[in-house]
Amino acid sequence: MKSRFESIGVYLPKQINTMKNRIAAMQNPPPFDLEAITGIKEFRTAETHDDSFTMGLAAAKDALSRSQYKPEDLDVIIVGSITRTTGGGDVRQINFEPPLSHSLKYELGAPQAMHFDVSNACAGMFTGVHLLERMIKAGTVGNGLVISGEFITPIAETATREIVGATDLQFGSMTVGDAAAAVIMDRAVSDEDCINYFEIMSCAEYAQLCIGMPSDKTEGIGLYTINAEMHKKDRIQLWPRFQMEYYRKNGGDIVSEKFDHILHHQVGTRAINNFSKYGSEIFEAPLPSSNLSGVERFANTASTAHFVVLYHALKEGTIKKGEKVLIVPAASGVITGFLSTTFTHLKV
Amino acid sequence: MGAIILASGISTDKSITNSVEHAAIAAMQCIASAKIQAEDIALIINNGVYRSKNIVEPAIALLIQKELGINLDFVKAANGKDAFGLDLMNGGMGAINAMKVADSFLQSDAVRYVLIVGGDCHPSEKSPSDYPYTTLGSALLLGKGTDAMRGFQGFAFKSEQFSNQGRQGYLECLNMGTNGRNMMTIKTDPGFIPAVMKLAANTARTYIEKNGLNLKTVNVICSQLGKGFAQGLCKEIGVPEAATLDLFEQFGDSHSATFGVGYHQLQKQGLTKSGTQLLFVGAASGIDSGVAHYVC
Repeated sequence: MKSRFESIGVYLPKQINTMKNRIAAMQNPPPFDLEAITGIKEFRTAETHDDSFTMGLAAAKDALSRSQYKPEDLDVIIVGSITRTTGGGDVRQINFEPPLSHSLKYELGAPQAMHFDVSNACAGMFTGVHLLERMIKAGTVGNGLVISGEFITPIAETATREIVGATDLQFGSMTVGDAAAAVIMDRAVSDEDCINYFEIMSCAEYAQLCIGMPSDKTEGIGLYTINAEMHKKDRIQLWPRFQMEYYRKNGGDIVSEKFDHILHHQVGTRAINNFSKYGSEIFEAPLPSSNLSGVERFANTASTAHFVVLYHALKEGTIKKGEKVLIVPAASGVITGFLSTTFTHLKV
Repeated sequence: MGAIILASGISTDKSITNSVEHAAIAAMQCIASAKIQAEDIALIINNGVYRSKNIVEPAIALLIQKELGINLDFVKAANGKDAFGLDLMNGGMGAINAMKVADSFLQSDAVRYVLIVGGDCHPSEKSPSDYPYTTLGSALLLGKGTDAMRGFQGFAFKSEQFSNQGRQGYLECLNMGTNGRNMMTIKTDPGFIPAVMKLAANTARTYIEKNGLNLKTVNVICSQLGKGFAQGLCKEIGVPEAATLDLFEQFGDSHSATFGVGYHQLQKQGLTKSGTQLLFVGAASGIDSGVAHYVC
């Protein structure tokens, strides 16, 4: 039994900010051109009343608005945000207990749904999708909703205050934007519209390369990344080697799969191109020239990044009916994997 | 066929203040007891909620995976084996959700073994008086069932809305100064414990009635929200008080580690003989409740 993405929803705060403004706000601007390196020109910033909860709620409502399912039909609700903030700009708290999924399901009108949160850095939504996909395959649930609201720009505020040198561990924080996304999944009814396969792994040797926690220098949350190690070619190439092993065990190869598009994590334009280049070296075959990207407009929206791009690619007609997309998760941990999906009915 | 519990482990050394270390010790004990190759564990679910330094990224499960040395680098290991770690958070009853998830993975042949670990610590790694949980760790190793009459038989979940969600644990970002790595606010509504006891008992009783279980032969491993909680819950469900272990007396409220601790103690006392009917009954903030029905 296969599953499918039945509906997708996104919420983007209206407030648009630019990378130029963010760099100008830095106490110690870098000697290099961050906008040119990352390709990020602008990004969204949460409104004063927004937080992970309100944004996640808006994205979930958007997904439900185009779904055949009503809130009362949902079997499971999983929230995969890193940030888990409530209280808007004036109160702002990071919640550990109870999970955000509890209050979200009541706000959505789905009290019957089993709920829980997952936490897995930028792979939080993929973690929810993975668990839900396996539960649908096992027949233990029929459908579910995966939500993430990322009010992540506070780490950029911390970075603009605290970065002191060109090799500062907080430079990654300068690339984030706020957004929320949600997907509804259910049993596939056709091979023309399904998740063909999805595998994900954590190579925990590198678990300490990127750590998010409160700062001990100023009041705020910080993200500390050893970028040179995190984005090393060997780390990136864990993905194609993992995917090749899957083909070795299950048959198939990257060429015969005939993917129409590839979608990487949205960390920056150069990095996205490198991901495909490094992947292609291992596959010894070209990867789709259509490398879906939204990083220039939305920046890195953490666990929602792939889904924000997917939503816009569907909405803008970049992904056409019947096309196949290779989605490659990437997150601190190090987490990587591959999701093959064909879209026929999913509309935005 | 439902998944089976192959082994359990706990870590209770009071000198250990970090939840990752506790979980890793409990997991190592569990893996050794099951006599399996750790590299065959493909899914690691951590149910811990409170963590050292309030780390929000990466998942704590990955720090535990690293401590355990399980499939750390897919390419270097060159054995074709991989693992996936994640944090599944649902207050003190995430383990019940994790059992359902693990059961699904095992039923669909997606993995060979699943490791469920639990354990919390205050972010400061100290035990301030307003922190209600005991710092310890537990682990359960699950494998594929081969007998339809054994293993996990069913699950039930039910939640309600309640004043201030019963209990809230959070970090106040605008009031933490530079001490956010050491702070946690936990607020408990006065009516939380009786309300969640009633909800959990109702969920368990409904499951028992629906599935025709014998009230006299069901054993209960439940959340330990305070002194006498387990006995009170049994009374509400309608099973004898002797049907449950009073873990609170010995361990206090071990929160996310409770179900692993409970199963481990039951096994240690020789009470997991073949055919024993077990109900894991979770009661958590939100408020939420869950039941996992297991036959030893």
